[in-house]
Amino acid sequence: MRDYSQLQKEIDHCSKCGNCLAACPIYGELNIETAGSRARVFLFSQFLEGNLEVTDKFAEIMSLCLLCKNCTATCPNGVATDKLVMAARREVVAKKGLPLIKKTIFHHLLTHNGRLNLAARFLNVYQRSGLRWLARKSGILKVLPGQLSEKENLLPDMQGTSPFRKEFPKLNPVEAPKKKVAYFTGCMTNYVFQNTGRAVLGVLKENEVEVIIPDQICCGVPAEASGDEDTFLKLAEKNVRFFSEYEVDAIITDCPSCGLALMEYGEKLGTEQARKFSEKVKDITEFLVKDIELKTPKGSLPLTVTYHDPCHAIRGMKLQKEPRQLLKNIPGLELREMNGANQCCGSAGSFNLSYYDLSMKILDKKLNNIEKTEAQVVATACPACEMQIGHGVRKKNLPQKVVHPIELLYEAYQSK
Amino acid sequence: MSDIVVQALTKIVGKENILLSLEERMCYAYDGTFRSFLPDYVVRPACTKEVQEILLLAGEHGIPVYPRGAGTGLSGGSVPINGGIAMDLIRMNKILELDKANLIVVVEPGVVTAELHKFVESHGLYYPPDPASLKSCTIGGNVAEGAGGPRAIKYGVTRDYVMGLEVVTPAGNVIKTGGRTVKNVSGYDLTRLMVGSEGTLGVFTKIILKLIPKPEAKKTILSIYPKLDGAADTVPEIINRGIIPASLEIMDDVAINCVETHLHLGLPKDAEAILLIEVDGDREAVERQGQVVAEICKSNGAMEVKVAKDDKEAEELWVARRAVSAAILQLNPTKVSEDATVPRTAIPEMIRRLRKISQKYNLPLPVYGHAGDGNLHPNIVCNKRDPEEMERVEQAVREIFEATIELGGTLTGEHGIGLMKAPFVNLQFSPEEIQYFREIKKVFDPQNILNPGKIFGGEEHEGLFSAAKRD
Ligand SMILES: Cc1cc2nc3c(=O)[nH]c(=O)nc-3n(C[C@H](O)[C@H](O)[C@H](O)COP(=O)(O)OP(=O)(O)OC[C@H]3O[C@@H](n4cnc5c(N)ncnc54)[C@H](O)[C@@H]3O)c2cc1C
Ligand code: SF4
Ligand code: SF4
Repeated sequence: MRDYSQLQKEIDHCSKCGNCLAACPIYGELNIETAGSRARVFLFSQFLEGNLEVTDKFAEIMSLCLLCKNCTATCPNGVATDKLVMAARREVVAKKGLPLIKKTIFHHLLTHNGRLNLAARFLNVYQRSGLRWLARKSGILKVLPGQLSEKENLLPDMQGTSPFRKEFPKLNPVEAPKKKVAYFTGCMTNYVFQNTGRAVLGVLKENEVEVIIPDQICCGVPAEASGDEDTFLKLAEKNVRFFSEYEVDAIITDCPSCGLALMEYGEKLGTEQARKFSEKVKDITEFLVKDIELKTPKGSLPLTVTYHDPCHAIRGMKLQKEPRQLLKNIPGLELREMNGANQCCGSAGSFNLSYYDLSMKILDKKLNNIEKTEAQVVATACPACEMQIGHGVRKKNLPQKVVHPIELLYEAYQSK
Repeated sequence: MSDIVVQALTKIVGKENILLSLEERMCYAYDGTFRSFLPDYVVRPACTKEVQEILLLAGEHGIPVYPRGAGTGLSGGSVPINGGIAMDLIRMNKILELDKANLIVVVEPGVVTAELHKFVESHGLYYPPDPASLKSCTIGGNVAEGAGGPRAIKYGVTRDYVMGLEVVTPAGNVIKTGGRTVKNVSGYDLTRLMVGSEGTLGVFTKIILKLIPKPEAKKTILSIYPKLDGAADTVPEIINRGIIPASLEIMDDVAINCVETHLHLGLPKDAEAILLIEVDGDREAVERQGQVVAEICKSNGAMEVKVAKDDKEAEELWVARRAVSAAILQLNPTKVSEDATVPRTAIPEMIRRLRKISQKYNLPLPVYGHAGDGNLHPNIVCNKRDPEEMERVEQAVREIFEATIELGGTLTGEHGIGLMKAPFVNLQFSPEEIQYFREIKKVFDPQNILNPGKIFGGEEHEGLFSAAKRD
């Protein structure tokens, strides 16, 4: 077993007070001690003390976690349950290996852009050729096991026929640049939400920022969250190498899960180069409102917008004001807060695939709060949340549009 | 673990509601204390009948049963010290009835306290008991421990709001105690006996609670003192002026310093005490009372008095008090929280004695708590992995209790005796008194199957603190 003394020290601070129970969305839904954050902390401490082995039950309890950090935010003693859950998942993988499907994805897809591009092309063809329409209409999806037919709907229509990074050149210069950034696009923007990427580029151009889109590869979060640390480190190392070729003021992301992972490369890889890389990482919303003088759009966007805080933005990168400030900068736009804006939407990477029903129950609470605002648009600065909330909105036939806030700003710039 | 018992339990609660794996049982081994004991079975009944059948079965096989709410207890009340059945009651979490005309709400035991607050407040009503753990803990646990909170000084504790109960006795009988009337003197007051019985006399399956109208407004005042005596003198003066605050919280210098290092709120580190005072009631009365309280604070030598202008500012004033229990863990990872309670006027003397105990045993001992009702929370901050230190802790705890009793107080104001204080009950009660307790227990539970090993001292409690190294 690896050296867990640092984690052990943190866990020792758990007084088992149970404060985190009220904060844990999974405990809230399942109403059983074994589903709460306190259980995960206690079981991992028992594992460290040698009283417990890695078993299927252990794996299950550790897999029932959204890594949403809500427990940590309410813990009087700052116990980072998500960290120990990831450590526990690593132990599960070390002992039992990865499930075949994840192994295929992590080892063969995520680590090879070419293969991922190809898979995306297939999907794109499936969605555009009428095959999806046919599949849905014919009821063929219904014979898929589990809720695959509903899950198939999780993936929205892709917003481009080719990956985003193929659509734009590596170098996007502007005259007399005020700043120079490298853009880590993340897989979701690259393959699904190309509009977000277009908006990021458009907004930066408008603000006279030069953008480089270096070669890059998946940030590694899906692998890490599933306990596949080797793959994570491999990907991290590659990204650091790719980005270190350029001298820039900041490395920006539009996905806080990627962002948080990139920020932790330094600590996890432990090299000087990685540390330098991590220090430069910033969310696009933070960069815009803090690092430059953001131009106020001339045109107006008369929309009511409600904002959902992604877990990894508000509790990970600690971004709460920045995306709101960005929205408030748009003339005509009314920001209408929902209840529980900072509560997890239930997406959590592939959690919504593994535990679809549970994830949908957590999402339902979010959708109710969204509905109550009667806003026209839901903005959220995370593609995974966008996908999850978008899925809910489509399923429930709600009127709201779901977008990344940067898209609204871009739209405002264009409507001069 | 016996197959016959598993089969029978499964028949009662269904397969999903009995947990047998080591991992799942471990999750029911602990509560909010630092001790844990593994149950053999975890069962999760959904109704009175299931609770009854479980107890009948347990009686038949002589298996101990440990009722459990949310497991936030601070006295080890729910931990299964003798193994057996952990009975998880949080599935029984329905609010059954709201009777607005009679100001009554009827609930199942697993309702979370904060959920009840939200529910009744949405109807303009108020359920005052507010233990700090209210977002997680259950009403059943509150009734079993006789829980209190900051509002106790004005509004009383859980005991003052329980009007009646449905109880399944260890022998498997379903009995009703009390009722729905404010006046009720029929028969012995079994409701009062049940409240605070720490899960040893019966399992509550329905709880009838009294409500009051929600106060219109509140005012929060924070007062910082260079000398402890100034804070101590403030308390009786407020009350003598005819004002009963809704809460009156105190923090001592050790606690203040921990919070300041932790959060940098700008609290003066040379202050000896902070009082947090809240008054509530009619809007006008509250304004006036707020002013009077602020004046009293100043005339007793406060170096700084802050009066909140609105709810947001009030919340800010509470930040320091709320942060204490976390902040003190900077000193060391394990916290032994006591809730020794003395008459209000004995607070300064109690705090002085605690200082001495802290020095004598060389253990950090921040003190905070409810100055209004004399319920202090001296917390010994230690390391459970250090057996030598834990022995000193045990001695210090004993001295804290001795001081409490000398000053006319009680071992516990709201957390219960449970497991952690069982070795010390004879400090407060004579052998005759304890004998009466035992006889009462025997009447309800002749086989001693419900929550055995609690409240009454016994061999199993020797080395309770230093034995923690074995957990
Ligand atoms: C951070 C923190 C702050 C706290 N602050 C306060 C405070 O301000 N005031 C206060 O009074 N307490 C406080 N407590 C202690 C604790 O929260 C209370 O004692 C609470 O009432 C326990 O409720 P529970 O549902 O967690 O019960 P548990 O801990 O599960 O059980 C407590 C006892 O109740 C019994 N029990 C539970 N349900 C039933 C039932 N239905 N029938 C019969 N017996 C039952 C159990 O057997 C056990 O003896 C605090 C605890 C923590 C961790
Ligand atoms: S809130 Fe923190 S200290 Fe309390 S039980 Fe949860 S992890 Fe432990
Ligand atoms: S990270 Fe979220 S889901 Fe996981 S234990 Fe904490 S609160 Fe629960």
